[in-house]
Amino acid sequence: MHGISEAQWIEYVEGSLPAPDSARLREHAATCAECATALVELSLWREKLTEEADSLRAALALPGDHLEGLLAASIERIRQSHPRCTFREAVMLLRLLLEPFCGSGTAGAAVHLAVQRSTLNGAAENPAAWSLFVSNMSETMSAICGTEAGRLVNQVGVCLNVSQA
Amino acid sequence: LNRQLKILWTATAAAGALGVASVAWPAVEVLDQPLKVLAYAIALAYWVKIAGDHPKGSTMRTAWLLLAWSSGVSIVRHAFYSIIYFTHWPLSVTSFGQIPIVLALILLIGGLLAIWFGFAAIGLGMRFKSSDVVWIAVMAVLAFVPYLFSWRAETSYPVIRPIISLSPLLLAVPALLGLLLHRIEQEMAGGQLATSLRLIVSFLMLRLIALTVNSPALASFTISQVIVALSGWTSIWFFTLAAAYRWSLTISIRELSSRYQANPENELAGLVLLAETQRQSSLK
Repeated sequence: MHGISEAQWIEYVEGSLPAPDSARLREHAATCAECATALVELSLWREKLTEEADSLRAALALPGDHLEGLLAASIERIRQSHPRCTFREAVMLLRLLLEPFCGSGTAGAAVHLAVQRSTLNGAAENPAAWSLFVSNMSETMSAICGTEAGRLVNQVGVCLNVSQA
Repeated sequence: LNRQLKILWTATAAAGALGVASVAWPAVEVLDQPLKVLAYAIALAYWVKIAGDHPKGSTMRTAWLLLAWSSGVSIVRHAFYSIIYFTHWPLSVTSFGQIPIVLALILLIGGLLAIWFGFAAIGLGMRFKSSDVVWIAVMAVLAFVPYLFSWRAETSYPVIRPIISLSPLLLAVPALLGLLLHRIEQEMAGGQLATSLRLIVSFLMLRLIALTVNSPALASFTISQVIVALSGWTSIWFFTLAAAYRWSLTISIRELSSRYQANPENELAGLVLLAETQRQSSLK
């Protein structure tokens, strides 16, 4: 546009354009309204990107428990975006997920074992015990089908929004 | 991986065809040992990768590692026979091939037992049918015939004699364990893992058939020779296929996992839809 390429505008905003070219672009932007608008937008985008990168750097520099807190908040956000289901429905979904790989018999046996190991306060199928169930199920599937299967169970299990029937 | 499975099935069919051809044209036997080395080498690579996907110290990791070791020892065995075939070593040296045979069988038995223990931990493979007794009796007879004939086998090394006699019995044990694996596979009710176990069972049964039909009482019949050649040449490829199918399970899970990572909402919606469809169809 007007003899100035997009790459030159980006280099100008980043401050990496040679001084004579930089002066030419500055003079042009002072006289051309269209290019001046584009330059403002480009500067805004650069600012936003810098802010995002700073927040990412800050997150990475956080101590372990803060990171876990961020992760828990993210998981909660994902859970809230899905419809609620009961413990039994969630178990059925996990079972359905695994059946093509290890068969309905294996999935059923693994679920049975994980439910037995996941009783909380003497009550089985308690929504509060969902995390424990997912962990036990993941462990059982890791032992039978490998760690990839265990990871998949964890990945799907944490996304399910389990509540009281 | 589908392409790899297709190639392995083609190799199995080709090995079978070559085995049958070797009955009419003994010159084809030149390919027998190198093909077995190749099949075991492929299986070894798969078993090692599969074991790597299991937690350290787990029973199933031990099982796959034992199968990998068994494949490794079998490679040594078939490489040894290849060398004898292509060089001018005295034929009596062949008896020493019994050592890796027994070693590979012991490792195989260990691997199969570990698979059984792994599944027994979740309650699979613990129920038997009355018809199993018949199968056990059939396998005992199948193993006993070659065992009797093994005592007639000639060897210049007395130390090797007990090992030669041990091989048919050691071949019968994996076949018996194959029965356990078959029960597990039935209780699994489908899935990729069951396909892998079914192929291991086929491998074990084909080997026992080859051994039994190869006994001197039957070996003179052409049909026996064809059966021995067909089962002997193809059985190892079933072992390789079992490993490939087991690895394809890991690949499938990995692919699904990355789909959930990329778009959990879509995948979960699909899963819920599938559950609903199954619920509706079960109500009908």
